[in-house]
Amino acid sequence: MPTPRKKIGLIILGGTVLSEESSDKNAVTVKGDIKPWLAKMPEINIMAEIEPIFILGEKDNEPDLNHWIKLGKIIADRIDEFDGFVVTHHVHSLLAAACALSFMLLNVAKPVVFTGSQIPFMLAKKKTDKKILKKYKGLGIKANLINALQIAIQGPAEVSIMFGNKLVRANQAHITKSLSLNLFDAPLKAVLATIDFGIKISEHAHADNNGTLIFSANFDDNVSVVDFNSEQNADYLKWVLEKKPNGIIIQTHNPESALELLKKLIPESYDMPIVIHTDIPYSNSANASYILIDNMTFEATLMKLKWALGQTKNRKKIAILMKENVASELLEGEE
Amino acid sequence: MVSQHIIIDFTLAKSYTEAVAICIAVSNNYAKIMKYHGIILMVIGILELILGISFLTKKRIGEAVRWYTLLIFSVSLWVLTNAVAALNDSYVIQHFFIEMTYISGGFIAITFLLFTYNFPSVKKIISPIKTFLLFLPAIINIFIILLTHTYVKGIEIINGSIREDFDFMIYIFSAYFLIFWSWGMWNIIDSYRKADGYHRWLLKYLLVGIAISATLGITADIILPLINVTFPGRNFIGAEFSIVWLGFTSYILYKKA
Repeated sequence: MPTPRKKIGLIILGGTVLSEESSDKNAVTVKGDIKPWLAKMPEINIMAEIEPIFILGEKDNEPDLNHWIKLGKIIADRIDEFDGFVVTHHVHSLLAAACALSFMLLNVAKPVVFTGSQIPFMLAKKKTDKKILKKYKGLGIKANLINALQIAIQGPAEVSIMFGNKLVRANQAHITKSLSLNLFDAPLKAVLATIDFGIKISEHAHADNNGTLIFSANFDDNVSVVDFNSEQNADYLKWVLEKKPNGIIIQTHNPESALELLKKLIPESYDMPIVIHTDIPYSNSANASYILIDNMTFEATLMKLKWALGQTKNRKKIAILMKENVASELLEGEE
Repeated sequence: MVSQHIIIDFTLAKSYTEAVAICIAVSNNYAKIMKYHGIILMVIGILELILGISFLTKKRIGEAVRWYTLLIFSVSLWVLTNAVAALNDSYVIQHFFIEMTYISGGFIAITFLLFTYNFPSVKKIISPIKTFLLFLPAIINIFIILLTHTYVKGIEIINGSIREDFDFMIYIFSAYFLIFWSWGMWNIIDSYRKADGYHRWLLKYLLVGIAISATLGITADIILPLINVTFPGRNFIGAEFSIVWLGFTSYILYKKA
């Protein structure tokens, strides 16, 4: 008995450029482009029953939080209709989008796989230097989309990113080197699958999730980010404080000196959450004024703070949420 | 060495006994070469067997994996039967195992073809009935080999080298193998032409590995016998070249793109 074909929702938010060599309909700019674009990849329709859902095209602006909330709502509303979802997305904001979705769709019981093309739309349309074209060779969406589809059909039930031969957990992923096949990487425990002759699912991938989906799309976008790696940025921080954002993330490689400086700059009466994000392990339980995060990627920290601010305005509760493992976003130490 | 030119016809009742007697008399040099071949082939066959088992135990998912695992086991069986033949002093046993290699050959052709329809993604859904029909020649081939002498009807021993006297089935098998193999190669080349990204990388290494080992293997095991080129151990060289394919497959598995 042949296995019944799985039904996959293909949600489009850019990132659809096929190849720098093909000219006509090699990307989705408007909804009407989807059919000829899919016809260029006949394998896709053999693999599964695809229902394309258009949100954004290549010529539109970079997707933002509003688009991601719309995306999350589509998935939450139609979760029972599909066996999995593939999201094509502009590559520059793909990581942030995938992180946002991971907090928005808690306990998701179907695979939600982000992928895209590294070829800029305009590059495919205009006459470009051959040397530049060569750098983008083979970085179109086709292979990524086919692999993402395979994962959506039989992969782990969580929000993930598929590029090259690696499937990584979205909220633990980081960008490696642009214009490489494996654009995203993650710690070993967050590599959910690899692809060679087939799909090899990692033991760290979530098994089938039988929990109830919690759709939580309240985000507060009024968060400022300050790169605090030198004292010169103190003036910038003062300017940011005057704008009164609902939350601040301070990025630093030296939390000790950053804390010293913050004591001088920030008044004690300031009651908005201030998150200090560092990529080096740091322990400072004595200081309760700031939320120190050293076990999350920057993108996950940013999206989690926006999400936490959407859940509560209470500073202590936000601090607790930021420390909690809400969506498997906390980086575990490598064994 | 004393010049020999002996023709043995397997279709005659006494030929096997005669073959044993003559084979013992054939120069020791031939036996030594065959021993080296046998040991090398045994190592390659075991490595391929390990690769096949690792495919099963690593729990990869996908139709392509299923066919590639069967392809690995078929190649491994082909190499190991060649190894057993080479390590055996008795030409009768050697002859038996050489004929057995055509059984695995049949399965190599069909599993390779079905793999190419599913790698790197499904190109065409082949129904179970069509799959069975594609397997049918390989299954019929088993009975033909076991029950008849229609592959090798006899041998000639010329100065220590053995030359098979082929019957009509070898031509049918060669045509079957070459058609299925070319069909599969066309699928792979077509996939490579249309692929991008990681799939193109995968297909490039797979294509190079298969092309090198298959060209050399088909030349040694099918073309040379058909044009009557004889030298000690000629039959086994083809199997030895499968190490190239094994190397490229391992490279794909363990090297990051």
